[in-house]
Amino acid sequence: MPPRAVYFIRRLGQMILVLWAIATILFLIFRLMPGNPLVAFIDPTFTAEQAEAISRQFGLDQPLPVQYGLYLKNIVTGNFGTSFFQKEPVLGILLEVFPNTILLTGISLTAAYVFGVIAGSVLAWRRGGKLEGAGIVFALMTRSAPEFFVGMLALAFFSFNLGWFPSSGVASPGTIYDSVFQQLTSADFWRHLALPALTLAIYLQGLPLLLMRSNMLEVLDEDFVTMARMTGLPEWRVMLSHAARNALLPIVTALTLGIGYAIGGNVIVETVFSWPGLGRVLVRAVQSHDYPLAQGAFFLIAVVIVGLNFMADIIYSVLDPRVSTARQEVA
Amino acid sequence: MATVSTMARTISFAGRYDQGARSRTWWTRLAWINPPTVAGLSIVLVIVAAAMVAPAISRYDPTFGDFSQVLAPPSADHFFGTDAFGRDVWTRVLSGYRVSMLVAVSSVFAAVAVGLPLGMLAGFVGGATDNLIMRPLDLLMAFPPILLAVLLIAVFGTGQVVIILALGLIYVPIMARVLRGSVIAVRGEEFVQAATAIGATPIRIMARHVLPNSLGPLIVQASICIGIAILIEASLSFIGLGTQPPDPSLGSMLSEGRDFMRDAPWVIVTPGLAIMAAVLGFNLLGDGLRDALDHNRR
Repeated sequence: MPPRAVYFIRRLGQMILVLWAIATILFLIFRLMPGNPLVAFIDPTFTAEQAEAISRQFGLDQPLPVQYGLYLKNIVTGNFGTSFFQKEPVLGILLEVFPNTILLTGISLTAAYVFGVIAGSVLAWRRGGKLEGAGIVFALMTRSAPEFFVGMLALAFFSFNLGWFPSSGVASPGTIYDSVFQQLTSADFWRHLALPALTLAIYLQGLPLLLMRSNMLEVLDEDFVTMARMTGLPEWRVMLSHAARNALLPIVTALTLGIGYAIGGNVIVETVFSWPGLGRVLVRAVQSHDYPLAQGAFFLIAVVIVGLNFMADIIYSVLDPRVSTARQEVA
Repeated sequence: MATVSTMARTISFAGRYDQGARSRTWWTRLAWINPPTVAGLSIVLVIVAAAMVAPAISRYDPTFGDFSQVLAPPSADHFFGTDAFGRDVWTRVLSGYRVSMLVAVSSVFAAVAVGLPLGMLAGFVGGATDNLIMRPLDLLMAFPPILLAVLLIAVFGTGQVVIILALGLIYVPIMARVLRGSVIAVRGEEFVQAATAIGATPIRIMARHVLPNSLGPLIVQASICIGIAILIEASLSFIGLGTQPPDPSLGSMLSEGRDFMRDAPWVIVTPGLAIMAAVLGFNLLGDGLRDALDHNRR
């Protein structure tokens, strides 16, 4: 088998192992809750039949190991129980908002990394100048600014003052999209997305920006850059083809970190802009003690994080073949 | 996992203030601290002092509402105005700092208390012990801190103790990993070999030789983590899962002020800038300490 295939399969195995570990932790931790073990799945407002059905599905009257087996089986088949408040299957509620979270995360993460890489390179190119000083101050400020504060300022300015963008939601009332493609090509969707995505991107761009700058500064000291300069290449060619290319690889490594930040940031940004996504569903479920919905949301968010990390690793192995061919060192 | 080392490289003022970096010991290097670090240290000292003496330097009660002064703009009586319940915004920011600092500092202390022995053991002993300690911690670290905190609050309910323990748990892997890294770097040094050669016990080598020489990065990380903890506590309070009203918290001041920000921007701008200042202060301090303390930098 080619090394990349071996690497791919091993990473896939790791991913499944991690998800299993997370499912197990969720199973155990929700049984640590004070009170009746049934509280994690059955709400007093359920009818007798509903309670009976859920108790059977999750084996709530059985010993713990049996419950654990049923729990794993239910997760694999997508059964997360019934929401206490919406009285609907958890999976349906989650899948409905799932695309919104993926779109918001994907678009702002991409925007943040493209901006960060370009801005970081420019700062390194203009090292020692006023632009660099201003850029670093900007990056440090955005790294310290809470997303909800940035989000509220964006709302106050762009929505309330200028009236350019709507202040909440994912679509104007009454809008229904037939497909994700239709949603993505609708101006209304982009107007709703603008402020949450901007807020999240401002929060996310600091890491790639600062990292790209310091990588570039390191690479610019290398012999091959001096060599390229000596051959008389114009400065922009040296920057672009020699320095930037080599400084880019650690940025992809940092993407793993960025994914975590993005998902964490989502929880806050979705709340500020009433963006119907996984983060907001999670916060509301926790506030209202809707345990099945909270458990399901946690698990699905974990799937998103683990899945995106998997993708980042695969991209990395394509960019840097050493990763998949060399034996993996224990870091 | 590249997480911590990647973060460590994002910003550095090293090279700009080289005199300091060339001094021989870490404390003489500290004495040469650079301007951004001094700025960070000053912000941190001012905030810590303000949080400690808050009741003495404010004329108002943070939870007392004066209904004749609802949403009053900044004035000589109320430096940063009042909120929708007529409470003094400045007083509430100071009290909010008390909560933030208490939560952030205690959680980082808790994390160091648990993470330090774990990291020491993983780094010094290595092998299977290392794997046994670090693999589960790696798993914990793959998750955004705010999510882990929300998970623990979902199960145990909210409250200051739960938040401190949750943040502490979140930081254990970071502390353990940072210390482990520097222990591995130090354990191969000649002075450790020398101590082994003269028959010092492993405990003595760890405590007297390895630990003092590997603490630098841990101190840096602790400073940065205090900043992040302030941010997380504020975020949790903002989404209603942290400090509960009427107790003042920088995060909940923003969520409460949301409906009034058009007419009374001071109700959100003041606490928002207060959070930013605190986080910026601890970040700058951490970045500066790193330049001063990190032996592995060029």
